[in-house]
Amino acid sequence: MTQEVISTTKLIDFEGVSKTYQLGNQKVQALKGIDLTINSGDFMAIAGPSGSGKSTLLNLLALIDTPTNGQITYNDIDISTLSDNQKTMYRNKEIGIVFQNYNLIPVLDALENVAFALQVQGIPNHVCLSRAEKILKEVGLGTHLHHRPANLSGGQKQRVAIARALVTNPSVVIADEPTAALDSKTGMEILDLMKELNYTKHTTFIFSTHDNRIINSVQHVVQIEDGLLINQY
Amino acid sequence: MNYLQFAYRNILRHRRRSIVTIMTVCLGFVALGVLGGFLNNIFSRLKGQAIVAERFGHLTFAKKGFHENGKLEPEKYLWNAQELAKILSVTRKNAEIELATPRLRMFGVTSNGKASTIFVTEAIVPDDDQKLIKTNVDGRTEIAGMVTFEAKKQDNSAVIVGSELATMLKIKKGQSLTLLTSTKDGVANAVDVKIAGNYNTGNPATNDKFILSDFSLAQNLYDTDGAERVIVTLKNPENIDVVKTQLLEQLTSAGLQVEAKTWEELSPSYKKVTTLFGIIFRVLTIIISVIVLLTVLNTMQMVVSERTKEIGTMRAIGMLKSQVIKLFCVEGLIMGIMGCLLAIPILLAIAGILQVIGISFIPPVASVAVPLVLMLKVPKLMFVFALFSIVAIVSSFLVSRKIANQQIVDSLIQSN
Ligand SMILES: Nc1ncnc2c1ncn2[C@@H]1O[C@H](COP(=O)(O)OP(=O)(O)OP(=O)(O)O)[C@@H](O)[C@H]1O
Ligand SMILES: [Mg+2]
Repeated sequence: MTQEVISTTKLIDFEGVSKTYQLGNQKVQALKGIDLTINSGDFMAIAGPSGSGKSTLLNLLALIDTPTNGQITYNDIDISTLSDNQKTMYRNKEIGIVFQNYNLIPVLDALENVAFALQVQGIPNHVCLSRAEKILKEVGLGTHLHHRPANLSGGQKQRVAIARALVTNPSVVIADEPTAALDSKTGMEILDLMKELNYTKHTTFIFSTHDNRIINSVQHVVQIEDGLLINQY
Repeated sequence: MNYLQFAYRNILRHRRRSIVTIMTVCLGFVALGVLGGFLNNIFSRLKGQAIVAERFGHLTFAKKGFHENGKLEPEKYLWNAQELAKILSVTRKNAEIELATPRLRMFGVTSNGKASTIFVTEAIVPDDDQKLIKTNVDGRTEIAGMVTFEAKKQDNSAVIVGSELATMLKIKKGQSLTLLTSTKDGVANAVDVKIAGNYNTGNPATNDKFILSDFSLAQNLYDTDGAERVIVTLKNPENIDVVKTQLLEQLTSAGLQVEAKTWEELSPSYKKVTTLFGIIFRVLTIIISVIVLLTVLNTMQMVVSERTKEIGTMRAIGMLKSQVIKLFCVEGLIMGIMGCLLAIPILLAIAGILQVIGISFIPPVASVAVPLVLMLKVPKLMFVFALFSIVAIVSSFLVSRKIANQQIVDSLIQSN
């Protein structure tokens, strides 16, 4: 198993972040004022029971949702000052997102799925494809470049998704329960892959999990319950 | 990113839905193509009727004011021999002119000895008329059933009568008729003429009174050595407006006070029919475009709601709202283009089949049956092509704009 990177440069800062959902005329407070600092190169697990607000927190971290209150800063940029297009471009270049259910695009093969994240930037196609191929080889899928998602196993799909998240060289990868749809052996393999990438590329990884085996094998864990950060070690 | 390829794969992915959309566009295109081709044919036949059967040629030159007041004071609007010679020489010198020929028109009563009825005679120069009836109208040089008579030395009494007039007076080829009319000064005059044939003018309003007579005979009857009008035909009828102004200038600088009318201006039925059917066609175009719009809208709505999570994913990965919208617009556009492209061979097949089986019909405001064929006009088809493409883009835009503006988390929640 690879060692985790220890780092001290501040990457993300949450200050009093809360999120309230409106369900009909009922309000659900999913996050109730979170203060959190994430350093560059961190490998952090977010743990907590179902409904505790893990996904909400990760969506805010991934800039695909906006907080009801509080401030989120990324590299000292106040996110609330960015326009939608600026946020999208920031997400594309700086944040890789991995989903629980892979969310690959079915009409694109593995290589194209990964290259997609670069293509939206307008990078020439052959550059996108060669960079995508390189990263797919790194996640161990060099032999499955032209398989469409339907012809890949769950673990392989998640490797493609990780490759897609990494291909733009982001400073952080955010993964909401990346192993939950996989059997535990494959789940551990994905975790090892993430650790390895964190070590070799110094990419920050933030992910949520239910799995105690995973929580026990990670050094930096943030525990939340009922929308509050209750423990961090 | 290659939007075209990506969009194309998505179209294949929703195959059945895409086929329905493409077929709707295709049917709309075929419907407009058939109706349009059919109308073009009617318009073209009516055009042939005006230019050839009613002898309007392409342009008519007359003394200024003739068309307004010529009937009240005909002698005032008559050209004398010198003026006529000048007009003919100016017009015939113009490189665009195929034929320039003088005309006289007279009204009166005609009798077969037992019964009489009113007539209108158009006096033509037989040699010129031989050429006029071969005028090329939209590629056709033979207008169905068209006849004229030949010039005979020492005898200018031959006439061709409208077929309804022939029926009314029960007269046949070789028999004679008396034409009662007056000279330009209002003195009564009469002449016997010999029937050389009859033809259907194509216009029910003139077919029962029309007589084509020899220009020299009419000059005698009218007591003039000039003419009332000069009719010209053009080598390139599409230049009619340019040639009209050009000739008007040339004739004016030659010291003549003239006015010019196109065949369209002189044939009121042509204008009425084309206006009416033009409106019908436009209304239909709008209705069909709306159907295409609603179909693409509906398809895109289904596609988009099925792919909401995917759209959320693409947005999360870094696709801009505008890029998402563009992707769906390209998908809509491809289906629009495919529908139109598919329609073209179908239209050609329909046109071919009609040509082969040869159905005839009588167009409105006409009395001669003409073959039912489709006259497909490339610019008009291109217009429908462009219209449907725009409609497809607009409907895709409307649907995708909404989804692109949705919160990314909300799009991602969709389970499938
Ligand atoms: N879109 C939403 N609308 C309304 N309420 C929501 C929405 N998303 C989440 N919630 C509520 O917010 C709270 C936190 O949800 P969240 O999905 O963040 O929990 P979680 O820790 O990720 O749970 P799980 O482990 O089951 O994924 C829950 O009470 C949930 O019902
Ligand atoms: Mg969750």
